[in-house]
This record gives sequence, C-alpha cells and structure tokens, in this order.
Amino acid sequence: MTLRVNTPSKPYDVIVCGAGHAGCEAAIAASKQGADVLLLTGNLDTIAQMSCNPAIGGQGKGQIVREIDALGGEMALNADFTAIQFKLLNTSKGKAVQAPRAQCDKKAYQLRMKHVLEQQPNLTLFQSMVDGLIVQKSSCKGVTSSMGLHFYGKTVIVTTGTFLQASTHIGQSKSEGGRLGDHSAKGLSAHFIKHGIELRRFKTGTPPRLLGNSINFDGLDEQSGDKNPSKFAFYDSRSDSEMFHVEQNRRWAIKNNQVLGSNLVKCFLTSTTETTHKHINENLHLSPLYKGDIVGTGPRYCPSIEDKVVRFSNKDSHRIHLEPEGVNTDEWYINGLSTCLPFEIQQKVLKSIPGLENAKIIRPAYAVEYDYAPPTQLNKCLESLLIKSLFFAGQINGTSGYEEAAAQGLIAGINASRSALGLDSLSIYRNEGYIGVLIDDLTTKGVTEPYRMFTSRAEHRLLFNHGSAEHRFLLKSQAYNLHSRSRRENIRNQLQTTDTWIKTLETTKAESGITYAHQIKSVSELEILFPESFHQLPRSVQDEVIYRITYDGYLKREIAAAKRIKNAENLEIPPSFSYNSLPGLRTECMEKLNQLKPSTLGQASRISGVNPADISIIHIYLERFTKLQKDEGD
Amino acid sequence: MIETIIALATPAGESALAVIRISGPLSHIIAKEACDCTNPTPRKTYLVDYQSSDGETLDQVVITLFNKGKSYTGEDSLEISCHGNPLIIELISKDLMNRGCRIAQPGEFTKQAFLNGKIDLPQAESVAQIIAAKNEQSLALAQRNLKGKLSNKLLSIQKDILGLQASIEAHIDFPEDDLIKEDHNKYQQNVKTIIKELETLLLQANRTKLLAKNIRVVLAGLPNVGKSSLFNALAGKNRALIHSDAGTTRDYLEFDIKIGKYWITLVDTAGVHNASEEIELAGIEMSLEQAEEADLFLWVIDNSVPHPSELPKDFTKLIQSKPTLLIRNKSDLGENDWIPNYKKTPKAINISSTEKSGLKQFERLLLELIQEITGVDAENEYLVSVRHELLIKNCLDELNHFLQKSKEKVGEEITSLHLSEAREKLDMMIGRKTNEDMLDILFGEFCIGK
Repeated sequence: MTLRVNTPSKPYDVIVCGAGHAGCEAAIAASKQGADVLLLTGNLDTIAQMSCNPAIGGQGKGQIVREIDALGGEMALNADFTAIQFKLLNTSKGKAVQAPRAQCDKKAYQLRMKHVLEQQPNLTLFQSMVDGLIVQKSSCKGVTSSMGLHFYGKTVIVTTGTFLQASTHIGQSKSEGGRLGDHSAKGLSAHFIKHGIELRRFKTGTPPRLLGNSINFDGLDEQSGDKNPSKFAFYDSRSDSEMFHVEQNRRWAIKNNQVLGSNLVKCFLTSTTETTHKHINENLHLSPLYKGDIVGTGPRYCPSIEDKVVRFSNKDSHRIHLEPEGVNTDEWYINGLSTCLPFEIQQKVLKSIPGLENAKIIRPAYAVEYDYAPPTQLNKCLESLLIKSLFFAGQINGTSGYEEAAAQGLIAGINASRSALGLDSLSIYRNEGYIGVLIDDLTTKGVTEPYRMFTSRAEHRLLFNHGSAEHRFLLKSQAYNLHSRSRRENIRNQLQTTDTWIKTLETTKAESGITYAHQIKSVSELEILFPESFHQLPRSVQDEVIYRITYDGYLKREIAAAKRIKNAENLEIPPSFSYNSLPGLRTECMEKLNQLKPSTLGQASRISGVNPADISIIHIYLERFTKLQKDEGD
Repeated sequence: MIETIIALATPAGESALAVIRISGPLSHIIAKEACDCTNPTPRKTYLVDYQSSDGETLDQVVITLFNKGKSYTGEDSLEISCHGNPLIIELISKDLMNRGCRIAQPGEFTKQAFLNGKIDLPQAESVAQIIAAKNEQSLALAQRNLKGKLSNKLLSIQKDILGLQASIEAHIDFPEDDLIKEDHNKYQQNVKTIIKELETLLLQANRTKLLAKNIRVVLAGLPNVGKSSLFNALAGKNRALIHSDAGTTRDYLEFDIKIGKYWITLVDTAGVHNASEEIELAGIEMSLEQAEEADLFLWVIDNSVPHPSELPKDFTKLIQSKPTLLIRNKSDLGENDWIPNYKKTPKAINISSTEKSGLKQFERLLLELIQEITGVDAENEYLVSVRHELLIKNCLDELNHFLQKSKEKVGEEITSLHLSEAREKLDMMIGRKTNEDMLDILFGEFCIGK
C-alpha cells in the first residue's frame, strides 16, 4: 500500500505514533480488527526495544503478558520465540501468585517484532518522527511529522514512551534524548499543552552494560533457568510458511520440547561491598538526583543504587544480577546497579564489586527524565477526555515496564480501530484481570510514581492466576473478535474439558476411598495417583483443574466479591453529573471527585478519601439524576 | 446480585425486646432454615425457635416476613424480635452473618428504600441527610471513643496488620529481591498479639454492658469477719444468717440494691479459709466461682485483730486483678488499720456494720469505684455499639483463620487474604486504608529493586 501523505480526504483508520512495546501491540491489534493502520517510528532499528532489562514477565507482569495473549496480542509469542532463559517465579508459594518470566535475546526480540509488523496486512510502517497533532474542533484528525509531512487519521494513538522532552543524565553531563544516543520528541509536548493536556515529569534510570569477557564469573553464584519452560503464549496457530526464518528453527525446538534457551544461558549473582557504598556516599553530591538537577519522580521499586545506599544505610550489601543481553552479543546488563553518577565514579563502583573488578563498561548507566501525561485525563478505552479520537498508551501514561505498556497498547489499538470502524468499544474491568486493574488504576487514581503492576493491586488476585487468562477472557475475545476461529474453538474445548474434569475428580473416589478433589485439597499433588487419562491431558489443563479444586471455596468467595465490583461498575456516572450541590458530601470528597471525575460508582468508591457513606449519597443522587433526565426525555 | 443486610432496629443494651431487621434475598431462606417457617404469610407474626446453623436453639423469637415491594426497603425483609439480651442479639447476628448476611452500613436501609422507589424522588435530599447524619453519629461515636482509647487502639491494630501485609506482599511481589528472610513464626506471633489486644478490647466492650446489666459486687474474706453483717446492713434486713461460729454462710446469697444510678448485685459468699469439712469445702469452691465472676470485690477484714492473715492464694490473685475495696469491719472493736503489701494498694475504709458507722462514706467510695470501672463518663466512653462489637469479632475470626491457615502451610496468598478481610472489618469502623498505604510501608521497610 502506498504511503498516503497529505491526503485529508483519505485518512488512515488509525495512526500509531511510536513503535515501542505499546505502539507495536496497538498497531497489530488495530490491523487485526480490520483497520487501515499507519505506524510511525523515529527509528526503524529500535522497534520494540528493551531499553532496560532484557527480560519479559516477572511477578504481576508475567500474568499481564498471558492476558495480552488471551486478548490476541503479540508480546507473549514474541517473548517465547526469543527467550534465552525461562523461569517460573514464586514456585515456593501458592499457584495464584506464580508468574512466568523470561530473559530474551534483545536483538532477536526486536527483529521478530519488526518482522511481524512487516507481515501484518493493512499495516504501513514508516520511519518519521511525529512532531505535532492536527486537531480540529477538539477532535484529533492526524499528525505532522519530520520532513513536514502530514498524515491524516480517524484516530491517533500516542505511544511516545520516555521520549517527550526527554533528557538523559550522567553526572553533570546532560543531553537530550529518550534513550542514550537517541533523539527526544520536542514538538509534541507543546502541542499537548496547547490543547489543554497536562504534562508532568518522571524519572527512571538504567545500569551500565558490560563486556562479558571482561567479567570474572569464577566464584559468582549461577542462576540457570527452569528445565521445563513456562511459556507465555497459550496458542500459536500460524503455519511454518508464515514464519520468520529464525522462528522456524525455534518452533521446531519448541515442538520437541527443547526450547532453545531454556537452559542456554546462565545469569550470575554478585553484590555490592562496603567499598562500593563508600564510593557512592563520597560522591553523592555529583549525582544529579541529589544535586537537584532531576526534578521528576522516580519509581520506588526500582531505585538507583545511590538511593538504595542512602535510604537503607543499615544494609551493608545490595544484590547485583548479571544478565546477558543476547546470544549474538557479549553485552551484559547489570541489574540492580541503575545510577546516574558520573562515568568515572561508575568505573570506581564496578571495581569494588566481586567479579567486576576489571569489567569494561561498553554503555554507561544513565537516568532519563521525561514528560508524561497524567492518565486521569483518559477514559477507560484510553481515549483522551479532552480531545476526541486521540488515544494514549504506554509510558506516556506514567507507567513503567514493557508489559504494562504492551497491555495499554493492545487496549488502545482495539478501541481506536473500533472507534474508526464505527464499532462499540472494549473495556476491561478490574474484576476480569490485571489489565483491568491496570487501566482502572491509571484512569481513576492516577499515578504518583511510574506505575508498575503488583499482584497486591488486584483485590481478587486468586481469580487471576496466569493459567486461567484464556478462560477468563473467552467471552470478550469472542465478542470482539480477537482470535481466529480455530483458537476460539480450542479455548472453548479446553474450558469444557477443565470443567468436566473438575466434576469428575470431585465425585470419583481414589483407591484410598476418598475423592480425588478431597485428596488434592489435603495432600501434595505429587502424592496423588490420578487416573491415567488425567495425565494424558495437556499440562495446562491439569494445572487449571488442580488449581480450581485446591482453591474452590476461596474462588467462590472471590467471585462473589468480584461480582459486587461489577455491579458498582455498571452504575455509570454521566460526565454532566455535578458533585457540587450534594448535601452531606464532605468538601474534601467533593474536590477529589470533581478532580478525578470517575466514570462509574465503582471507580468512585476506590478513590481514597471517599467513604461508603459518600458513595451512598452519590448513589442516591445518581438515581435521582438519571430518573429526572429520563422524565425530561419523555 | 443484591446482598442481604442486617441491623439492630432497637437501641443497643438490655431491654425487654430487641428487633433485628434483615433486608435482602436471604430473608425467605432464613425464615425457612433458621426459624423452620416455610413460606410464611407476609405481615403475619409467627412465634418460633431461632436455630443457629449448628442446630442450637438460640432464643424463642417472633418473626414477621415482608415480601419484596411491600417492605420498608422494598426488598424481601424479615424482622426478628428476640429477647433484649445483648448476648442473644449477638449470637443471632453472628449466625445471620454465617448464613451470608452482612452488617448494614449506617443509613443503608433508608438507601435501599430510596433506590427501590419506596421513598419519593423529591425526598432524596432528606435521605442523603439521614445517611450523612447516621454516618456522623457513628463517626462521632468513634471520635468519642478516640479519647477512650478504643479508636487509638484500633488504629494501631490496623497499622500492625498493614505492616504484616506489607511484609507478606513484599515477599510475594518481589521474589527475586534480596529481602530479609520471611519469619512465619513471627507473623503468627504478631497476629496472636493482635488477637490478644482485640480480645482485651472486647472485654472493655463488655464493661460497657455494665450499664445494661447489674454490677456484681462480691463480698470476700476470711470466716467470721462480718461479711454477712455488712451484707445485711447494705441490704437493709437480716437476709443472711449471722452467727459467730466461723463458716456459717456455706452457700452464697445475692441481693440487688441501687447505689447512685447503678444497679448492683451484692453477693455474699462463704468465708474462705483452709476448711476441713466437706460441706464447707464445697462452699469455698463456690465462693471462688463467684469471685471469678465479680466485677468488683469488697474484701472484708476484721479490724479488731492485729494481723489478719491473708486469703488463700487463688483469692489473693483475683483480688489483685480486679477493682477491690478493702473494708476494715468491726472498727468499733479495734483500730489496727492493716494494709496488704500489694503492688497496687486497694482503697480502704473503716466501718462498723453493727453500729452502722462509716456506711455513708463506704457508699461514696463504692460509687467512685464503680464509675472507675464503667468509665468516667460511662455513657460515652468505651461505648462500643453492637455493630462495632460484631465487627471486632469478625475481625478476630479472620485472624484466627490466618493462624489456622498458616499452620496448614497453604500459600501466603491465602493467609494474606484473611489479613485483608480482618483489616476490612477495622476499616469499617475507623476509616479505609488502601493498597497504596500498604505499599508506602512496603517501600519504606524493604529495599526493593532487583
């Protein structure tokens, strides 16, 4: 398809600005919905780049990746195909909070994603930096980009990550860029402000990358992956001929249960020493974080090493993970050593860490400061409340993490395309999965630091075990046409098999005379002699059957509680509803509600400072409001 | 799905009758299963036995069923009139919760009525005001209790639970971080401490019941020190048999009197000493039982004897743990003015029950002591409404589940769930804490950042 430049009469259905983890999912999801998509990126070589650690998944995040897969996204497959080490986290804890994680080959990950974009029908990929929006009558009509090109679209999705007004810091040295050596998106911020969109500053950082052959691995703790990989994707329907050549090898290996990389690479563990902490303390004044050069708020869960040393001065050592960035490079990621201290100090610090005494830095650590647009300015489809047809996804919404970004991209992509095609929108609620929690938290509570998913954010996480994602989203994926027919069939069959087996195990007695279900609840899984036919089921089905039996009572309780959330979610608060004259509502509460403008009673109830009595009062007036409006309508 | 909510429709405290109101779809099921009353005619009263889900008869009650659309709230409703004994109310409420009901929020019945069109639209404002007012009342109660340490205590317990959750959640959400190793025994110890504190609070809550129930004042002392003469002097007539032989009162005697605005049950017991006669031993045993139930002791000694020997060990212990007034009787016969060597010296007074001297002063002291144990401003302080008390008990149940599940070694996601539920109950009394509050503690205490 030829690139349509300056053709307002023939707009694209969806224009996606940025090809990071959010942008890629947005573009793919939109084109899968049948939309005509243009994906613009400042640099084709940095598509789907893992700017920080070369890993996908982890606690809270791994579950999100599985949900992305259950909703037809690409991240799970991309991670499975390019993983070089798999690990299931929290195996010592309950299954509800176990999460898959994989070290991925950074370059392979990018190349495969680029290839998927290239192969996607209705998707045009083009390298050009977006520098402005075309807005008419509070509605977004397209974008302007470098070289003075104008692109018109019925909807626009902004996924600019950390690139808005971005600056990188290494000690005193400050330069423009959303990533070291990359550009910064300058024009867009001014456009957003002009159209009334508020922007704020966040900060994040990344550690130095080292040359592997300069690291002395002797004596460091090895961390290898699981023998049996826990993959992210539930299902892959493509034929061999549809695949990228690199994948075909990998697929063969996966089919034969020999995932390349399941045991291919090892990570290593070392730790900081007292000398490290001494260097850091002596040079704190050189860190832009402590000098006050950086004003943006950083994430508490991913502090720089200087923050860790200062805030936890009682700890005499901090753990450092050494992770390879790929199989075709000897570049290593030094997880836990994020910093923005000057380069010379970074070298000093490394020398004080066992194994890294002679390590060569090939990419220095740096901090990046960037604009984000507080996500309370969005509705739950991730569309701007101020400018119609303008969607936001990813780090620009104040989140952090590839998985969180991808999930938003997926939702924004589906909704932008459906809006362009005149179809109804898709909302994921917080009683359905982590993606629902993510979007609800962002749009109603907003963020005070880069937002990362924690399982504790979900009130009913027992319902969100990673293995159930496909089942949970079956109805949604059917209604919004997110999967191929064969995959839908497959999920339905699996769900049916699961339900049937649960009944069977609940009623069938084992040799010991008690039911299997009872055994599952009382003894370890390994001690149970299941019927042979049970073992013939796919492992994922077995796991789900056992999970649902083990947690039976709790799951029922959680489902009932989640239903309450849903009921409150169904009570929509119209945008024209005013809190100002409600008697009995406390001023503090009124201010909060006016500021955050929750779209449902459920969202209102989760705002801190709003108590049940306030909700009752709002509920009453909401009822009165809708009835009066209806009367007027009649 | 509409939840079934319950509330006490009559004032808390002891009364002839109490009405528990139930509103929601479970009404019919409760009539059938708890009251053995299948398809009762609406608006007709039935005299039935209320049976708990364990099959125990809790009380004889009168029930009235109202069908959906024809009740105050517009939902299926059931009204249970039971005897106005706080214990019965509590047992029935608890059983209703076991059957799936939930304690109503302040004003929730009115709200349901409004939402079901039972109250006109123009009345919305007054409904909202009722809810705001009821909520204020409930907050005011908590506020008053703030001075009475209750809310402070609950706030600190809420914080403790948040802290525990922070630790458990840190280990769930950051499995690859270098955290201090989890000490499950310590978690359990902490929860046990919290349980103890909550139980103490409940005891305090029971103290408020002193307002409704008579205060038990037990006379204790060695034989023949004149307990019965004092009893009679207070009771105003020769109720107890008085004899100069030691050990005359072998049983115990009760008499209700009113001092100030308080009703008191005065209990006379057998004198305690190292008795030999079997019948006397039995009497002493009974005295000990009485002593254990006492709200307050009157420890009677003979002031005419130079060194009165102390009571047996069990009694001494009890006396030191409960409010006690030392009465030096027979002051007309001698002035030894002995004082026991305890950590907390009890208040003492000299009287002569035969000459009826010192009795006025005794009453004044007794009144002071009663006010002390029921709270200075008894009506306000420590007044834990039935709702609060039930919530504290719910909270305790969840914490006990936590301990049990911890022992069973199920995953932390389960034990943590019970902690959340426990905290939620506290939230309902003293204000909500969010996950953000938990995360603040988590990031303050644990160095996260792989």
